[in-house]
Amino acid sequence: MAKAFLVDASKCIGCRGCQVACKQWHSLKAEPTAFLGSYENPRDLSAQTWRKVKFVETVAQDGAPRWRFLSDACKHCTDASCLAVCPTGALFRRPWGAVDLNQDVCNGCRYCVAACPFGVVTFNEATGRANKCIMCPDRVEAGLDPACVSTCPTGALSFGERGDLLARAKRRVAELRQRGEQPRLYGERELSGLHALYVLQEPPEAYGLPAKPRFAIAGVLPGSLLSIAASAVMGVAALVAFRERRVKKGE
Amino acid sequence: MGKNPAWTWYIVWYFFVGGLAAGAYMLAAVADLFGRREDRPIAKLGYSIALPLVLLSTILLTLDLGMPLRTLYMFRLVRLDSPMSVGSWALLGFGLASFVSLVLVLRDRPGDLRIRQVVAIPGGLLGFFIASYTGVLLGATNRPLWAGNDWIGPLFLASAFSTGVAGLAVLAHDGVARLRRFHLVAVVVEALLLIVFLATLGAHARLFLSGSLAPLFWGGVVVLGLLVPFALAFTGRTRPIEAVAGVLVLVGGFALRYLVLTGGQV
Repeated sequence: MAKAFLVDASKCIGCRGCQVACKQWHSLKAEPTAFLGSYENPRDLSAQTWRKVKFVETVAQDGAPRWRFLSDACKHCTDASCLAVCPTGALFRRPWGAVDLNQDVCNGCRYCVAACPFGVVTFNEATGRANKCIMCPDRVEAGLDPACVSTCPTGALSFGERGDLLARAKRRVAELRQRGEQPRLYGERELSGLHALYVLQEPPEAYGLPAKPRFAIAGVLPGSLLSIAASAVMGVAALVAFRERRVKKGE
Repeated sequence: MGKNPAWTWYIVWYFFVGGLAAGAYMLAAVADLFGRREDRPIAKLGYSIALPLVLLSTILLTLDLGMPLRTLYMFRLVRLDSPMSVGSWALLGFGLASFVSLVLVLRDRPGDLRIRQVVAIPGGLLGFFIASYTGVLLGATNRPLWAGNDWIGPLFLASAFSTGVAGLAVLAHDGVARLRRFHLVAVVVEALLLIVFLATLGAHARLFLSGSLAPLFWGGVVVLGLLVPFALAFTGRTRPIEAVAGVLVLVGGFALRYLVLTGGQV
């Protein structure tokens, strides 16, 4: 059955253990960074950073500052734009849900980079191929949790059957609501269901998540039909251009 | 939003060159299928433009990928969901059609016209595809300006035709007087589609209308690429004027590809 991450933002303490564990398991290099005005670092998911903790500072209604954390990575969407547009089949679906990326087959076209609605997939200049979180298939298929989940000290990150995690996420949302918070569940229905469920304490946009992520190939059909219509118009115009003269000559 | 794919000069040139090749081939195919004996030179010239430009297209795409042999990975699978996969196969088919058409038109033995007409049908249809799929491909991303825009394909298609006629007009020894009115139609359709495209861009239209890309948009696409050629079509019909108008349309077509590609990556 489908596996998934559950990211409970209300339990994240911003330790970035997941970020480091991911780097270590996948032998990802350090990258040059700069001070961003918070402890958040690096700025963005990249070819060398497949999971990172976002630091979000907001102000509550009572004027008190709130510091929110979110461990973020590839969401392994059901309607996965990167996978849909990949021309080589380098991006492929594992039977248990992960969107994996075969480096040997990637030819560096960068279509997935432009297609991802979350800005996750990144082109690796050094290898000329795309990179992103692949959900540790080597670990999962050996019965282990992904490296990030194994290292999480607070239970903010979990891994398991998507159905179980969804039920747990809903229970957690109800729990937080009872405490007077305004939690949101993200990933249940977005893009036909993400394989990364999020319990958020702020609106998705506050964490840089799109409220309505869009499946990149959604517009292929209307775009193609309009192109065919335009083709018909221009084709007939060209045909007329050659026919017209034939009629005139015949006169 | 997706990250910036950094589709820069190789891709800008490919979009332009591929569109021009498709436009030239489609006109040659129509000339072969529906034209008369006097239209043979147009067909010959159209095929002669198409084949080298298809070859140039594959070189440009290969250079963009960085490692030449990896281009072949495009032909591991047919992935109908991916405009780039279908486009790669179409480009392969279009290249084959261009090659066969050109060989036949150069050989010109009795009966070759019949075979050429048979090749021109799939070749011409592939031409339509090559001319427009790049626009559909951009719509099938999550980049600003491109995402979900259904009008880039039609716009590129019209531009492929207008640059195709322009290419013929520039290179033909005696010009393409027969295609003058069609050239005008192509420019007008392109202008109309450009207006629709801008209307669907919403806030992103400002980038072209008054933003950093505005000088190239107004100067390159609107004035040089559309208005001046349109005006020239109504002045004297001398050969030099026709050639100048052709060159301007080509410049406008290139500027259009540059602007649409750059607009989604700023």
